[in-house]
Amino acid sequence: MIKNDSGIKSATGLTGSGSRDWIIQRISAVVLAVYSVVLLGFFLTHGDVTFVEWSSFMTSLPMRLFSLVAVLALAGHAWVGMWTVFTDYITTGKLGSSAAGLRLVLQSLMIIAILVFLFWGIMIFWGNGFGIVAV
Amino acid sequence: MKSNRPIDLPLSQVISVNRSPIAIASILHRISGIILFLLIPVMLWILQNSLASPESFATVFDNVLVRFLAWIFVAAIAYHFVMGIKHLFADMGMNEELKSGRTASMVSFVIAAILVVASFVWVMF
Repeated sequence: MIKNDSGIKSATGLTGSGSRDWIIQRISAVVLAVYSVVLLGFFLTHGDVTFVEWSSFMTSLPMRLFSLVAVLALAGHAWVGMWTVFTDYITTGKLGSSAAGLRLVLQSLMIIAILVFLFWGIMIFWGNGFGIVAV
Repeated sequence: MKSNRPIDLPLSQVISVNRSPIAIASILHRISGIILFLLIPVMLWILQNSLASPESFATVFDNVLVRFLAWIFVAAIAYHFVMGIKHLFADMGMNEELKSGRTASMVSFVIAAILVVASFVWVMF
């Protein structure tokens, strides 16, 4: 392995610290796992879900709060996970000298996308109403 | 500092050399994560429309393509969830040896496969 002594290896990581990224990955994983189980539990106990059942469940204060935490967890989890994938496969060793530039572009797009998803998710649960998204 | 460890093999070569269930479980965990990331906007769109009005709720879930994409997402979550639990156990030092790692991978595959098939029936029908 060629040691990277440039000092900017983790500049596009979430926290700039490997151990902090690692623990955020785990904490967010548990949050998302519990959130998934709660949603699964709702569907399994409601058979053929109606709009009223679904919307009154999801817009209740506990689920609004839990969903906000889950959206935040998703943003952190996806950031660390995608960073890991990019830094493992978009490397100079695998793709040659263009890898660094490509990785910067991909990671920038990934970070922008995550910010969009984050704010969109917050808007769904805490925005002004639940508007229909035009296709 | 240089080391002789061949860490920069292309992914295809890594997979063709290392066919252990541990390696397959690991790479599929990554692939399922990438699929989940790419489907986040689709799921946010479904979520928003499902909460907007009874009409948009019905329109979203009556659409077979939407249901199929939702199933892909649910199946990827199911796999990512099971392998994530396996990973958290490994973080605690469990099933990290060759034999126990293989067993844990095989057990996880079976659980994930059941969930993927069950979710197909559940979401699509």
